[in-house]
Order: sequence, then structure tokens, then C-alpha cells
Amino acid sequence: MIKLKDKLVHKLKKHDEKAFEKIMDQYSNLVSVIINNVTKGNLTKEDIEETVADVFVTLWKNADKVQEGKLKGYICTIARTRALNKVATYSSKTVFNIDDYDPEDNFSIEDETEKKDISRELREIINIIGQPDKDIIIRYYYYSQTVSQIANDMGIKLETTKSKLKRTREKIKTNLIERGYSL
Amino acid sequence: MKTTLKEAFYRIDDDLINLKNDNFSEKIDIDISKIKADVFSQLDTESKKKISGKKTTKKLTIMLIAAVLFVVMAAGTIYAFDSIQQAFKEFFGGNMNSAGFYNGRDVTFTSPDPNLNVQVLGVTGDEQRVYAVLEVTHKDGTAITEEGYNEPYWWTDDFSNMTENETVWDYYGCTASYTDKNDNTVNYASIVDYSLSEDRKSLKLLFMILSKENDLQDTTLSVVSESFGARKICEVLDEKVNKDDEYDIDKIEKRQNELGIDNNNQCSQIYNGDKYQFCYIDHKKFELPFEISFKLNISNENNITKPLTSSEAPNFITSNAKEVEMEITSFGINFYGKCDLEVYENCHWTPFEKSTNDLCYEHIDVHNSKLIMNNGTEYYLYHYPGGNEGVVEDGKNSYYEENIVLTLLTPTSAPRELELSDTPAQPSEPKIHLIDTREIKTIIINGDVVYGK
Repeated sequence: MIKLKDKLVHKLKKHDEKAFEKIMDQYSNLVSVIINNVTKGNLTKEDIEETVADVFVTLWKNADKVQEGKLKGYICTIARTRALNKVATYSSKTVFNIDDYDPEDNFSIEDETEKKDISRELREIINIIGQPDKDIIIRYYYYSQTVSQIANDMGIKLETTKSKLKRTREKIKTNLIERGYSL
Repeated sequence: MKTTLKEAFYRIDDDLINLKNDNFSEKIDIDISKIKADVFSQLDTESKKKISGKKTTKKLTIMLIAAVLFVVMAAGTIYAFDSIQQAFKEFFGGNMNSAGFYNGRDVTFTSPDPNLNVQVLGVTGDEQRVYAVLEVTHKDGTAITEEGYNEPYWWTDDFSNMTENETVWDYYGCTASYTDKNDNTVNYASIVDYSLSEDRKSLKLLFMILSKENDLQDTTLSVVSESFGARKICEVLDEKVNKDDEYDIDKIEKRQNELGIDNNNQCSQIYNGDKYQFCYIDHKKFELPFEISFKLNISNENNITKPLTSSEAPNFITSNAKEVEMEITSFGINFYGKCDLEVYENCHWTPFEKSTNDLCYEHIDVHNSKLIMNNGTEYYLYHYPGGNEGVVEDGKNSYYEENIVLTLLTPTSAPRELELSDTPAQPSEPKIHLIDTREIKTIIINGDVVYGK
């Protein structure tokens, strides 16, 4: 399968500034949305712009680590990490406004070995979840969107989105328990 | 410490995150051009620091040698106008006058390869930028590259093994640096173009040095080379006329399978002047180990200077500008603006805003700004490269100064050169044009006529 689009990553690895600019043009909005979501809308426009710039500086410095076909995921990971760092910086003076529906994230994993495996397990489980439930849970947990935003973007009623999210979470939990995780 | 489901999701980093309906209605009001400027500014600053640290010892040695030679050779300036002009004509379009052509002084050259010969063909520039052309040949007259490898390019090694202590500059085959009279790296020099003769016996390299100090006299350009690249177009797999047309993917893939080649590493798009071609290309590194340094000494002739006010150019010069001087050179137009310190201080700009905002000038509208020659040739005026800004301490008369630099681009070349990155041997910078300042008819910026005979 020819992957012409991966040329962008190939060029990024070669530190091609034009390719890097294209990447910034293409992903700046997505990165800003992730930063805004992760920080619950508590950053100013200037803070968001500064954090977006940090994300791309980090990307440039780590260009060699980007795998072809996985640029978006890599950028999103940096964006989330940078946003969380920003949150940590401001946590002493920021009160987060969590006024949207927040399903109870009441299961957790303590064992270190299990932590390493859970992402792989989760990937397998998510792959067997149908649409639109899959997009809903990815948007909620990965992109840190609120339920209202998800409902709006996907054109689904708010209450439906909430119930689907809750059901999918239960499904994931059940699957993880079946796979031997003690939750 | 417990890992929540949310944290587990954060570790998903592959195509799972590609949503079926990739729609995000949230729009954060961000300025992407500002972000890009910030990113490049950060990277630029870091790379400069790293370059500076890397070669200090080497440059110090070269500078000491150059300093000794300077005493011996100070009177030995040799001008060979025709040959110097010819060297630059290969790279610059338009007609040039004799502004600042110089053959480089106090040249020191070393190479472990006794067959390698490197000459400084010429130096030219104005107060804001300097260009130098070097020619690399073999003393025995043999070709620099193997047969078929006709397209040179700036070679970089694979960055994937880069360690924390290394920078990308450690992986470039040929790098240049620029030191001031005090052996400080005050700004950077870079290769902006290169050409290989048809017989592959002569490789010419064009370097550009940007000055933020407005003083390039007797400074030194040092070039350290280990290798240069060249590529051979083995086969055109498909071609298209327009950029937005689609390649025949099936045809390309079929041929790639037949050839047993990897799309990402051995194929790329090139632009041959009238069509885009997706080609199977072989890249090869050619060893060119040498170090060369020489002094820059630029004198300008036929520059035109003139004051400009906001009433003369209301769409370009702001009312903040107390004084603006326009300097027209063969390389473009430089503006030196001053405004009251109070005006600047009232802006309360951050360092980033200071580097991106202008107090004395409105944003240059490229499509509404032109330089027109007597023969009718028109050039775009592009805000690039160079310029600086800052508070000038002058006793009670301290002021804020802003310099900007406009470069000339031809109407046909500008859109393409600003857009394309896949042209063979295409430099990352736009192609720059030089002009004979005596032949300028009119200069229009943002619709205002700022110069006219």
C-alpha cells in the first residue's frame, strides 16, 4: 500500500521546515482543542498559543521518534502532556470548572505490571466496540471533550450520549475483569 | 498510585484515535502564524546557541590564523568584477550593478583530501545580509559526483540515532557559521542554494549571512564540510501537470513492487519546471572534507536612501513612526524606523510580541506591493529575511528602533518558490533577485508610492 501522506513524517524526520510548517498548519487547531479540553477551558488564548508552540517545538526535537502513520497520535500525546504540565503550573491558583456530566471513574489499577499491559488490552477492547460508542469514549477519555461537546459534535442527544458513555465504560470494565484485572 | 481509566487512555497513541467522524465543533481562537513564528524563534535561538558552543575552539583557531593573515594581506584586495558578478548570476535573477562585489579576503583553507580545491568566488551584500559563493573542484579535474548523480543537495545523516547531547547540526554534511570581530557568533550563516555543473566537475555553494548588528565589515565566514549529497533520478513513476491533480497510485504501486523499492525512502516528488513527477530516486553521499574561512568586507555603491513619513505612505508607515529612513539596495529595501520610547513602553509587549509586532510599519500586503523597473519588470516585495528591533540607549534621547527588510521576488517565481518544497535542489529559502538600483522606476508598498522617478 503506497503511503504518499507519510511523506510528511518522512520529511519531518529529515527536519524539513516546509513539511514542519504544513504539520503546524494542519494540526494547530486540533492541538489547541486538546489543550483547551484537558485544561477545562482555564487557559487564556495566549497560554493556549504558547502551549501549542511548545507542542510543536517538542515535536521538532523528537521528530526521529515519530512513526510513519502515527503522527497525529504522537502530536496528541505531546499536546496532552504539555497541557497537563500547564495545569500543574497553574494548579495552585486555578479552580477547575467541572460542571458537565462526569461519569464516575471509580475503577483503577494499582499494580505496576498491570499498568503496562492495560493500554494493549484497552486497545483490543476498544476495537470490538461499535460506533458511535467507540468515538464517544475516545472523545471523552482521549480528547477530553465534555459530554455536551461530544453530543454537539456527533449530533446525538445529550442524554443518549451520557447513557452510551456509561454503558461503554461498563463494557470496558467487564472486559478488563474478564481479562484478569482486579478493578 | 492508582492508574485510572483516563490515564490508560492517554497511552493509546495509534490509529485508534482517528475518529470516524473527525469533527470538532470547538474552535479555539488561535493565531497560527504567531504560533509558527514562536516555534521557529525558539528553535532558531536554540540552534544558534548550540552552533555557537560546538565550534568555538575550531573557530578561534581559524580566527587567529585569519588575524595573522589579515596583517600580511590587508593591502591585497583583488577585485575581479566580471567573474564575481558571473558567480552570483548563476544564483540571482535580474541585472546587477557593482554593489559590494568582493572576492573575499584572508582566506584560510585546509583539507585532508589533497585533491580537493575550494575557492571563494565572490562576496556581496548590503547592511542587512551578505552572500558568498564557493566553488568546490578536484585538482585533477575529475568529477565531484558519480555519473548520473546530477542534482546536489544538502546532505544530512539519519537523525534517528541522535543523542541528547547532539543537535541536528551535528548531522549536516556541510555547515557554515559567522563570527564577528570579537569571535562571537552573532548570527547564523546558511547554505541557501547550490549548483553542480553539467560535467559534475564544479559544485558551487551559495551562503547567506543575516546581520542583526548592521556591521558586517571584517567579520568572518567559516564553512566546515564533511560531505555533500547528490541524487540520481532513476525513473519517473508518474507525473501530473497541476499540483492538485492526483497521481495514479495503482500504477506507482505496481511499478514500485516490480522494482522492489520502498516508497518512503526511495521515492519522492520533484518539480521539473513544468510538471510534477513522482520519481524513484537514489541518494548518495560524496565526501568533501574541508574547512575554509574568510573575511567579509562589503562596500555598497548606488544605494538610494530617502526619508519616509506616514503622510507620504499612510498605508505602510504608521503614525507612531517618528522617523523612517528607506534604503534601497540591489538586494531589496531596508527600512530603519524610530519611535518614541514612551509609545513602545505603553505597548507593554512581551518578548514574543516585540519580535512579531511592528510599531512603525503596517503589515506588508505582498500582493499590493511592488518594485517596478524601467524596463517594466515587476518584483514582489517580501518581508524576509533579516531586520531587528530594540531600544537604543542614547542618553535622554533613547528611542525604539525597528528595522525591516524587504526582499525581491519575481511575480512568476514568488508563489511557486514560497509554496514548493519538492523541487530538485530547491533551497528552503525563496529565490532572491538582485537588481540595478539605477534602473528602478517605482516602488509601491501597500498601495502607497514610496519611491518614483
